[in-house]
Amino acid sequence: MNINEQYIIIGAGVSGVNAAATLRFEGFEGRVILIDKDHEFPYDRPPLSKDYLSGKIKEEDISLRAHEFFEKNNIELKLGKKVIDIDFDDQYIKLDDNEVIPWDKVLIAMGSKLRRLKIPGRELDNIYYLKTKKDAQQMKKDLKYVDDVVIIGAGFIGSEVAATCRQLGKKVTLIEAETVPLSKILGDYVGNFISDIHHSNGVRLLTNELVTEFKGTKKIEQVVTNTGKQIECQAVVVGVGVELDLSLFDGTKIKVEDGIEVDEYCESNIPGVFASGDCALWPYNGERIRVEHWNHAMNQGITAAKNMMNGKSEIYNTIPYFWSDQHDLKIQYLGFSKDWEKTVLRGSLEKQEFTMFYLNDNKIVSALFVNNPRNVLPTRKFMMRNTKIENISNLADEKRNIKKAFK
Amino acid sequence: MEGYTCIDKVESFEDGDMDNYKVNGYDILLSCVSGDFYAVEAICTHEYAELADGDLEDYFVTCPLHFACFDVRDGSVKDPPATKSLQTFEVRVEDNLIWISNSPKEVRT
Ligand SMILES: Cc1cc2nc3c(=O)[nH]c(=O)nc-3n(C[C@H](O)[C@H](O)[C@H](O)COP(=O)(O)OP(=O)(O)OC[C@H]3O[C@@H](n4cnc5c(N)ncnc54)[C@H](O)[C@@H]3O)c2cc1C
Ligand code: FES
Repeated sequence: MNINEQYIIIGAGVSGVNAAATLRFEGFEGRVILIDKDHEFPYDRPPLSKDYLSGKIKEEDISLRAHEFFEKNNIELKLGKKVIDIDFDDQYIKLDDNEVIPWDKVLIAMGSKLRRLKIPGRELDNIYYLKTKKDAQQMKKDLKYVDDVVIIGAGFIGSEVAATCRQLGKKVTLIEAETVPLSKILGDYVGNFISDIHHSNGVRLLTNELVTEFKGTKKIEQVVTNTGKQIECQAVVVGVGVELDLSLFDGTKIKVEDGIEVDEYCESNIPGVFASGDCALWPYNGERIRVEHWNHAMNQGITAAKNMMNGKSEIYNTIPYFWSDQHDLKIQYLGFSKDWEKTVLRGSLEKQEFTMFYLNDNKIVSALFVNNPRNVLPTRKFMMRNTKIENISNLADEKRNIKKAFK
Repeated sequence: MEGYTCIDKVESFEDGDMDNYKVNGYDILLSCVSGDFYAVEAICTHEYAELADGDLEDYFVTCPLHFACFDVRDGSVKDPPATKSLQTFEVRVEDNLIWISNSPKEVRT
């Protein structure tokens, strides 16, 4: 089966690596070429802001697969090679060392990149963006000589880095443009809870502040905000969201918007061309969304691989999900919603153990779990069914088994 | 029973129940499926999560953190991200009592 075919996967992140592995597990016998511009052996990103940065886990713990895995499974890894051109008519790609490789099918799993702050002083040393292992290694090394850290952006990654820096004994100032951190996706009530957690863990949180300038001679010395605050520091970590670099596709016929548009089989408008992970714009609940979550990247890569082998054989159907570890909070989140009509709280904010349900038209559109892993899978199962909750107050009733509330 | 530890009565379990036990220093998840008992290590092999906080459906337990899924009969991985099987432990039922072996069935490969 497909023995003479050649599949290329662009990007050896969690999505691309799982796609390559799936091709082999499912019995694909042709060539599999996995390409990444990163020189490092494929690794996992979530620990970079958590246990890897804090030093709790080592380099070998963040490999996506054992080193011998790729050779054993005959997956040709090309590391440190950037794809600089892709031709969808003649079906080849070109690498930055000028190698040209033809393909029969291709999976684009290029991920995303971090949005950069384009403000004066941005060229100073000790301003960090945390995306790659190299970024994390550099930060780890430099942080040893730093007392005061400013983190810009109280999103999930910024908050995690703030927590990790506190663990490392740094003085941390976290600057957020919004009035309440994370309120857009979690609402003010939970957003304020997260703020309190930062405060009680010694993070100085400044909200409603925009960073306008970095000051210093060679290294960063001060962060300046729009209200005139000047915050002394020796390091800055920027976590202000991600963006895509889709310039590779300029002038080609692949359909690209805020991501590479794919159908429920992870295939783009060009047959044989697939996309998955952070860079894909995919159908969810009647709209097209893009998410930057680890589980999605893995699972969509897996489904894409199956559909590469056996055209349109498996539909990608999931509930978006991510987790985040901050201070003593194990946060988990299911769904995707920017607005909701109602929220229902199950558990207690004081005890730091609760689930918050976000509902529209009596359907759960998303749910947040704080130190409450037991509720995750029952909720996920229920959301998969896409049905209405009959009696909403049952959701809040902790005496009632959550599975029964979903009956 | 030599080499085994008695952990509970059979009646304490209903179909689909899971619970954690400590046997000879091992953290063990005991599950009850169709009247039979299965014992596997209690912590997911992927990162760190207690499988007892997950979901048991038929013979398959799903981890609550990144949703790896394992077969409780032999500990094998059914869904990623886990790539390593769970260790399994022999379970015996005698006189309505559940006994779990003090050591895993075989060393994981
Ligand atoms: C610090 C950090 C912490 C995170 N924590 C969490 C978390 O707790 N929970 C969660 O759910 N998610 C988390 N995420 C998000 C999660 O890691 C991403 O959603 C996931 O990595 C996306 O996988 P991917 O394979 O789509 O993309 P990536 O992992 O970004 O991989 C894409 C790869 O493509 C390569 N590439 C790009 N362009 C080219 C080219 N032209 N040629 C060759 N190679 C190319 C890149 O070098 C990269 O290695 C975190 C992310 C970061 C950075
Ligand atoms: S810890 Fe169980 S799947 Fe990750």
